Amino acid sequence: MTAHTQVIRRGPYPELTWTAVLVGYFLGAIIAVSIAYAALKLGFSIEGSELAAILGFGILRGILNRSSIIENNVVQTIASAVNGASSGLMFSVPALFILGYTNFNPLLIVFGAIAGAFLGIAFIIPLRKQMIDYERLTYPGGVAVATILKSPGAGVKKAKLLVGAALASGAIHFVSKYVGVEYYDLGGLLGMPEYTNGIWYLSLLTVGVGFIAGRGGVAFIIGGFVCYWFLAPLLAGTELLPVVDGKVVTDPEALRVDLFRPVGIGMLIGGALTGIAMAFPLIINAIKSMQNAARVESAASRDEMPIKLLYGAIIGCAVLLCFIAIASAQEVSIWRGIAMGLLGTFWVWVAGVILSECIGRTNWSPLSGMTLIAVTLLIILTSGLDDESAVIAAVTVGAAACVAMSQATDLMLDLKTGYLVGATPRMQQFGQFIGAWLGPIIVMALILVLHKAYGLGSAELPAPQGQALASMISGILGGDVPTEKYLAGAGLGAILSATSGGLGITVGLGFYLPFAIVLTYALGTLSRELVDRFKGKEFSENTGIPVAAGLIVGEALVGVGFAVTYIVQGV
Amino acid sequence: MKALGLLLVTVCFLVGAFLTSLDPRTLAWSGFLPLLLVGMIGVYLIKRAEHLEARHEGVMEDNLKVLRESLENLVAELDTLVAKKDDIPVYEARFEIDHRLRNDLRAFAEARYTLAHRYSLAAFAEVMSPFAAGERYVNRVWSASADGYIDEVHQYLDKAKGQFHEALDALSRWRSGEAL
Repeated sequence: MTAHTQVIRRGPYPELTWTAVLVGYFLGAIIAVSIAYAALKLGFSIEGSELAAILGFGILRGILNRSSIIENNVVQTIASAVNGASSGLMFSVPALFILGYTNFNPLLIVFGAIAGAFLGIAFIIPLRKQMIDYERLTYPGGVAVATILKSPGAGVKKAKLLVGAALASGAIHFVSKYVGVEYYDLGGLLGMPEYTNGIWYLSLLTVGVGFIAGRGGVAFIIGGFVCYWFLAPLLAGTELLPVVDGKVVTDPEALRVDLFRPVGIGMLIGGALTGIAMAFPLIINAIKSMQNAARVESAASRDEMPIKLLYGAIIGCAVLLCFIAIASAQEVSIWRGIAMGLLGTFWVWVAGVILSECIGRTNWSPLSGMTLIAVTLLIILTSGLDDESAVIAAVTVGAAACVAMSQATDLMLDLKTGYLVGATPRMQQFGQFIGAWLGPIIVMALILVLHKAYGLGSAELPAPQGQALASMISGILGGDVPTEKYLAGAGLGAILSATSGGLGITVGLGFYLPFAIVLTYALGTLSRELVDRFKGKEFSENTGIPVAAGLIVGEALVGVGFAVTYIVQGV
Repeated sequence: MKALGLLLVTVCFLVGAFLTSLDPRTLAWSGFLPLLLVGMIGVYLIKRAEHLEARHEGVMEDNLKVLRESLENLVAELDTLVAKKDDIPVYEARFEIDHRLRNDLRAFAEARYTLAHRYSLAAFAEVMSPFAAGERYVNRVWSASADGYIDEVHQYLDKAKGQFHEALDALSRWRSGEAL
């Protein structure tokens, strides 16, 4: 930094300011529209924090001449809160259009999503102490954002590493997207059997995430390898691979969807419930600590949002969710609506813990799986209603739960970033509440406009995630639910999490996600291990982390760039 | 005992995963449930071994020493920083922090679970709460220093010092309670 820029500033350090709120809204709206459109077109959704941090950096420092790392942190918190509705609504609502059940009330879904968003935030706030202060989960995405935010003060070398890695990662992702080659079948080239799934995901972001997660992600890798390098060969060797229409199934994606993913979902749930039971004394201690701090009005207590306010928010949002369930379809009775609202509320809490653990340890969250379970349970509660009413009621409450889960994980990620830059949790929590209401309005408006223009589920807008949920809903209505596999997976997840905290969840995530991601992720983990061993932990932190953060940022930016391009082309 | 426990859990997991992969819908529960029992026995053996291991005086004492020394170092370094804060150029404060505090912060964090093993989860929470708040305040000093906010640097150095003193006091209380 040159001498003329070293201004000594007096007075309070800007954090939650009107500027931060307005810039956060502006960026959040742009990112939400871009990512929501990309989700409808291509089926992927992106966590917007990295992009918001970079753009916020440019606007605050470059245009508005402001200089506060923690103010920029609030900007990315608000922007990603607005964007939190994208993945939540894009996965659930399009299913209604695709199934042809369009007799729903969009306003009710918006209100439900806003209530869900507040519920997710209120539920997860008391867990901040347990997951970030006590367990110190890694949150690789949060570390990447913190690295961006701290770059003005981290020195030229780190900034160069960050930018260089971002350029390399962005360039590779651009080429990969441009030529349409995002996977490479190295296993096929080496003559490995198809079921061993030697396909690599060409993504430096994934390598960066693996590097930052370090040993925390080893169990995730084990989960994937157990499926494709142990179970699949064992099934093939004993001639027990599934047979469809007289043909042995060796396609790894078919094996994942039919055999491994349902067990993985079960493991996530069983692992999480066991984890909650085992960490319960610690969670209680964390909440007690917040209550005690509030009573004595200590300095630390002013850092947290009042716990009574959170209790009030949880109760208020749960009541609202019950009301929305009752109003979602004429046939839903009061008692059935209350049951649906309470189930949705309970599931938001359990799934919020699962997703926060997953994203904290590996940076991936099985949001679609948790939404699927929510919708399945809700449809079971609507048994006796006609299909249309049952699905509309279940998806209305399910969408609220999905947005809630998305907000919970986003907030936890942002709070980790906040911890690393020294932000005040209360300011970030307010920021999340301030941003969370806007996303559902923007995204629902976008869905309605796009459906009118192109038709959701059409060739122009295939909405792959919505199609996946729609086909699952059809399966559920037809009684095709792999309940036994969920239960067995839950048993295995419980045993693993009882052995070591979070183990069942992380191994289950390896069962759940495509192996291509696991393989590439393993490169990052291996690199971290080698760098730690041969160059030392300090080198990893001072050189490796900025590079890994750059890899994440570059690819994320190009991903959103492509989304914006699709919008422009669409217009 | 721990190795046997790990072996049983591994067998339960791998054989159980194999059984769940045999059919897309159904499961042979008569084979699966006994496996879960094997896994539970494995978990019991591991937990028991870890309990004994955690109480092993050598490991425990080493970790407690790390906890005490790192916390004392943090308190001493922050006392020094606070005492001479007016003499530290605001943009240099973050380098002082990295130089003086980071190693002890990392060492304490790595040994933190000993608190739960030796004393209780309540002790763990009581020490970790101020420690984490103190570390977050230190991180804020770093950010404020990078941006040149001198009053914030001074204020949060004081606040961080208070939190680490609180953590050290809590650790001392649990240690003296044990000694009584």
